[in-house]
Amino acid sequence: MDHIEFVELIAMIIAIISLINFPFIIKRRRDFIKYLPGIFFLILVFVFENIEEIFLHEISAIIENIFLIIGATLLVTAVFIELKKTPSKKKLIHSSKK
Amino acid sequence: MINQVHEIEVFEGIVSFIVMFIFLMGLILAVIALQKNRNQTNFFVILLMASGFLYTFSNVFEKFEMWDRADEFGDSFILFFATILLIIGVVAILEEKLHTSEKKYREAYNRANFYKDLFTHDMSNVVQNIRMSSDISFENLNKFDKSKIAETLEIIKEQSIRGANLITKVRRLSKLEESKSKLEQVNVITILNDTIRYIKKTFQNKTLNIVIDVQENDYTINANEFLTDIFANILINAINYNDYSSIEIQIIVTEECGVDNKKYLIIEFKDHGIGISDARKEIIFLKGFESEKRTRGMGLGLSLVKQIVELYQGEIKVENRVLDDYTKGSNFILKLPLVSLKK
Repeated sequence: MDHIEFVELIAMIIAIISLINFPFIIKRRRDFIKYLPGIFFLILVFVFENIEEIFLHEISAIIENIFLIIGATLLVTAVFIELKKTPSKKKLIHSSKK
Repeated sequence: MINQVHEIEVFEGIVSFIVMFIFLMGLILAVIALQKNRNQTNFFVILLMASGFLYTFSNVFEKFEMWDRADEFGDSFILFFATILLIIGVVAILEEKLHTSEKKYREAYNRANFYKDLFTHDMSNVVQNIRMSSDISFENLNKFDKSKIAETLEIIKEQSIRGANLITKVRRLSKLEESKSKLEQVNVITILNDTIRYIKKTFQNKTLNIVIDVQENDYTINANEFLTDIFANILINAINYNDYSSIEIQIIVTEECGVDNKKYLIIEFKDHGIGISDARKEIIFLKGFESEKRTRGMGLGLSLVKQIVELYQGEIKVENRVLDDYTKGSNFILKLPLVSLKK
């Protein structure tokens, strides 16, 4: 296992810790639930990237890339939902004046 | 075999190219979101999108063999991406905690100001009345007018009682926030009847005709000792701001199902008093408002009544008793959430 693979392994561990941490975050901030599907798929990308190095190289690579597209799309969709839900500064000022 | 590996590399390169644009789009959206709402979470979402973009960008270079060190570059960004994922969660929780504590302190500050305003305003009125009455007493003392002296002494006594009551009320209300968790199930009709009895006893010099129209007697809500203050305040206002010798107040108690499928108790206090103009309807529940015609009150304004009602998660509003004619009297409408009792 060379240096670069070690970095990937560390990244995977950190990503898995963040996934374990996510239910606690959602418990306190329900609005974060929209990020969960995207983050879940992206963490699977980290996992498959490490699996790819050990065995099932081709299949893992294909699955990893499919999950990458799905994860990124879901994450961007979550950001879009957040943007749609966020009231603009003008609206905020207007409502506070009311 | 080499061909297959090459095909997969090309496939990965194309996918990375597509995902790179997805992340770029996400980055733009996150920047707009940050401009709309400047918070820490949105800032970290930008970092997440940026690291995702740079990772896929380096992947494209790696897969199409355009840059020798693209692999190392990509790996450092994948590590950065994972770290941001971890940090974003922690930041979200911290942000929520900060927001909660900010709200708590703002409320405490507003509350302190509110009590200060209320206390200084009402107490200065009381002190002013006592001072004027004592001045008149001294004048009458020189004239040896006993009846006049007795009259002004009565006013002084009344005002000192009012001041003492006010101090008690403010002290109790300052504990209102603490009692949030101490709400208990109470029977509204019992408390309403007790309050009416107290009011009739207090205003013995006036002819009161208070009629309650209620369907059943066991309406239960979550409330505390201040519930009686709500009823008393509305009733005292109905009596004080009334020009008739015989004061008629009709109390109608009904049940309503809210949009949230919760059951609410609606209590309407209809009086034949001087009424409240539309302009005044909007301000009577605001802090600092006090009628210039007030002659006799509890030192507990409608703004505080509203505060108590909100503590019970209810609502209070005022309408004309007769549509489009405020001079015919007012209708104070209380909406309080009912407790569903399991029988």
